Amino acid sequence: MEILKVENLTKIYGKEENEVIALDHVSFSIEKGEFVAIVGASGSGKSTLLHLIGGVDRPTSGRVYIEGKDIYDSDDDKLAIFRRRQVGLIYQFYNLIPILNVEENITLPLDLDNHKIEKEKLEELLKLLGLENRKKHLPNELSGGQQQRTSIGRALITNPALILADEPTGNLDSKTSDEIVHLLKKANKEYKQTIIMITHNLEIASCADRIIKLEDGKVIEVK
Amino acid sequence: MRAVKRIVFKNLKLNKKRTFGTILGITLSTMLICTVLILFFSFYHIIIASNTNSFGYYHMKVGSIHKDELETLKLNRDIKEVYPVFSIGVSELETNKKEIKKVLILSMDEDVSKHLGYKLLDGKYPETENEIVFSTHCIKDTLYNIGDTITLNINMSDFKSEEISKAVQKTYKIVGIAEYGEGRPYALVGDAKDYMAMDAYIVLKDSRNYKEVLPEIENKYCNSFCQQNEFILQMESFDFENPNIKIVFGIGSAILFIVLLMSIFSIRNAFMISITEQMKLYGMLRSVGATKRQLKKSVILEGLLLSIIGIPVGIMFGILLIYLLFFCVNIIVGEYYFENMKYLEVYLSIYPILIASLLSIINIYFSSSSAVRKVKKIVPIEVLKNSGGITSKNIKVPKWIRKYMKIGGTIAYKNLKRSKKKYRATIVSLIICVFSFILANSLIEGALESARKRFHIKDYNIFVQNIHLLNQEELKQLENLNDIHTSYKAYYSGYLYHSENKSDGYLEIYDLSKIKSNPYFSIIQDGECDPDNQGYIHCTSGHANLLIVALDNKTYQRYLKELKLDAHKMKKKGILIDLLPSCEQIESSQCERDYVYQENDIIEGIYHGEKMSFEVAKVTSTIPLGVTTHERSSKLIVALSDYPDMNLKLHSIGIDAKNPYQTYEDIMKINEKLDVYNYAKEQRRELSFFYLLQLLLYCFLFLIGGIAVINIFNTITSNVRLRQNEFAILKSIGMTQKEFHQMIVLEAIFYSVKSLIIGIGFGILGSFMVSNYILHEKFQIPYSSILISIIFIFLFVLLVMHYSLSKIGKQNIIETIRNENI
Ligand SMILES: Nc1ncnc2c1ncn2[C@@H]1O[C@H](COP(=O)(O)OP(=O)(O)O)[C@@H](O)[C@H]1O
Ligand SMILES: [Mg+2]
Repeated sequence: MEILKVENLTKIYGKEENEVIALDHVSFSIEKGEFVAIVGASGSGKSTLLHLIGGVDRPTSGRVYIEGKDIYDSDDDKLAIFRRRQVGLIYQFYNLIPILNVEENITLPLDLDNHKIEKEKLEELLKLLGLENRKKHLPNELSGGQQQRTSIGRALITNPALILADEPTGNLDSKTSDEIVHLLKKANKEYKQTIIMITHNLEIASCADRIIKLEDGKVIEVK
Repeated sequence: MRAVKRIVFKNLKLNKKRTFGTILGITLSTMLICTVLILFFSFYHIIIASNTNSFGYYHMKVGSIHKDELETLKLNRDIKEVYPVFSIGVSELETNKKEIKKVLILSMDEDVSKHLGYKLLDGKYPETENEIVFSTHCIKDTLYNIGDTITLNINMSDFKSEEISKAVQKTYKIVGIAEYGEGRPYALVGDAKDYMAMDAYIVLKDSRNYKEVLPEIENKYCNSFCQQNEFILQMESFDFENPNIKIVFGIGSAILFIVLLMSIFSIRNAFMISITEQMKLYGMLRSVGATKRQLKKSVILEGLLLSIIGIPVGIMFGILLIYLLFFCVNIIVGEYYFENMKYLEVYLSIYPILIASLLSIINIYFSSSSAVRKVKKIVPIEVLKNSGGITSKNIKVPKWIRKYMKIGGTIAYKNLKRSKKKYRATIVSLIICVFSFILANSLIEGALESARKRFHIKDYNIFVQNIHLLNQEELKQLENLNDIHTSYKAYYSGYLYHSENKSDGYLEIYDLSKIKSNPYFSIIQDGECDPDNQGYIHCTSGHANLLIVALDNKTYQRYLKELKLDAHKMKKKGILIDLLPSCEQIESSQCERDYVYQENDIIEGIYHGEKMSFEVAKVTSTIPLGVTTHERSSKLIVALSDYPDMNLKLHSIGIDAKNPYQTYEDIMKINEKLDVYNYAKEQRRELSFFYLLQLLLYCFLFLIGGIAVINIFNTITSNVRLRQNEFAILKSIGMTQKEFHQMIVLEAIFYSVKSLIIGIGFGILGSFMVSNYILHEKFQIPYSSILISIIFIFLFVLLVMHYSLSKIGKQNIIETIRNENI
């Protein structure tokens, strides 16, 4: 089943002389349960693409369909609600809320929806993330890997349609990177979670089902 | 070092908004200090000028001095000026009302007359022996005018000399009309070859040590009498005996205290905001190896740079503001109100400017020092991780917050609990604002209250007495006057002063031990009334006479309120007026009482042959409305409704007339025996001073409020700026705009409540101290200012939050996150 479809997606920053075409008529689609890697040189438009898929930015033109629905058809608030239910975002710099502890950061999207938190599911997730003993710690008391695992937990907790990860290992050493990639793959395998991940690391990219390569805002290769 | 300096400069230039904020902080606080200081200096000089304008500027008057003494006086090293004034004699002047005016004839140089407050209104100053100038008060009601000649019989006998009389007849040409202070009748003539006495008015070089200098001069030169100009001396030496002036200066110092607090805080706040927003930069500098010393230098350098701009601008604005303020006051009320001074003038001197600059510099130095301390404590990695000051306390969010305020409330609550530092600046800003407002407000209330007392502001403008002389017809006329807002009526038992010297209608007190034996009027001689020395209590034929005055219900209730007496406990009780109004706080020989009665004593006496007794509810100097303030005699005030059978007659009314001048004429027409006073003019002048004071105090409150508002604004917007990243993450996770706003509003409410509780607590404590130690009044909880603070803080905080969020709301989520991460 096709879970994501991108059609002629274009994003232009700035005006006239300063115009930067970050994305140039990008089209592709992704099936449910796929693990896709996006690669490309720095500045080739990877992050821009990911943000547009995640609905945190608006495109200049083109469409993004998730489960057949055009996400930019709705207003900002609907988009926000869509985001917290259907998309899990993971950033290079974790972006956790500094005043919330591990458990609270992970359950934040559920809290936003006023959903009851299932204790068992949370425990299972914490175990999967290897954070059972860290759940009351604040972000600044965690290592980089632990912080990234927390943000993965935050992305996974809602069982979103898509997990989008922007260089999730970019800030970590190779051993920790392996752990994170392993974790994402496990989520992909065990929960049939669709994952789109940006990476520089070709070795990591090679674990993916498919690789989309960008250059100057255009898709030049899909493997 | 050069690198650090360069970065500081660049940083200041790049972050124009923040730099501007810091400069604004410095400018505002300097402006506040400068304005208030100039205001004080100006007011101080205005108060002195309003006195010297009427009565002249001198420190002591030495009466009846000899010519050669005058010369040695001029050589005294402590004396700056000596003004000789010659008394020629006393003459009588007949008015067209068949009244005789006693006129004192003086002679002095034109220059001296100006120094002593004589003002020529019309014509020219007398130069020759035959020229004379009359005071307005003199020439009023006479047929004389400028250009007329007049022949006067002048009595030149010095009251000391033994001669019975030494009169001369002289003819003068009237050349002008002049005015002096309180408008007593006098005349000025041009020459003084022949005079009865010479007085010398002395101006000291330095009046601050007058307590040593003046007695010396008095000892040497005082032949008959000397009089120190106490008002000027006390004002100039800041040594006040007058309790009212003491209170005024107490209030002044308290206001200065608030201003200092406000300005210290304003500058500190500006620096702290600047430093906090630059923490990342400093952390980065530290991590690349800048030493603490270098950072310290850079912070101090920044402070210096900013104060070079901020202080002069602040002083300029302060001066401008005061001119603007006085300009407006003069335009709005000047011509109409200030008969004495005409216009308020700014008194500009170097002192307030120096003091303001110095205070600001000291303030900036300490503020940047404490900023340095903060910078020194930087642990680079913590700053870069953006995690300073958060504690991992495990907190239980109260159920009601979870339930009713949802996730917004929960996050807001956790934020407040775990990240106290983040809010400290905002909360302190709010606390200081609330505290200063409540304190300033109770100071202003107190100042106005004591001013009200000081100026004896009456609630009526027409006063009528001798009403008991009217017949029924005329009484009806008086009572049917329209054009009246309200009236205050007093019913007298007797009219010793106002009719034939009959003493019936008084409460006769035979127990003479109740009369205070007064050293000045030895009323009681050998246990008996001294018939030659009746004093104010008319002690005749073996008893003292106490006047009973009954008030109508409205007047009586008002009087009780004024005295803070409980109306329910007042049935058949009396209030004894037996003190001079000015005596309540001063101990002075002139402040002896007539009777020894105290609160709760029983006054027993005979009234119209019947025994009567009254319980004293209070002994006071406060005279009720509707009773004349002119005579000094003890009275027993009761309610008319308590004693309907005493046959008391309406004697006097205080009338608040809409058009007092017309009403005055109308009443005069009823019966010429009536004693009618028109206070409208006097009232206007007194009210004008009162309103001026009010205006200035509220301007000051406005100023403080404005600066508090700017402080809060700066702190909140800075706080929001610092947290953009956090907000962006929340949005990227999928928080809707509505939820986000809910969170922000709840957060604002949480810390507003916290600051209000603390601020109001301190405010109540502050106003308690003010009323106890400065105003000496009974403390009352300042409900109205508390209410105003609560409403204002909530509204304002929400407004500022809204504003700063709308600014960052326009920014893209991703851009914000990206900016923070690079
Ligand atoms: N806010 C922006 N304003 C202007 N240009 C931008 C903005 N954000 C990104 N760009 C430009 O868009 C291009 C794509 O950026 P990005 O998607 O971040 O690349 P990548 O993630 O592949 O490194 C770059 O050339 C970048 O300079
Ligand atoms: Mg990128």
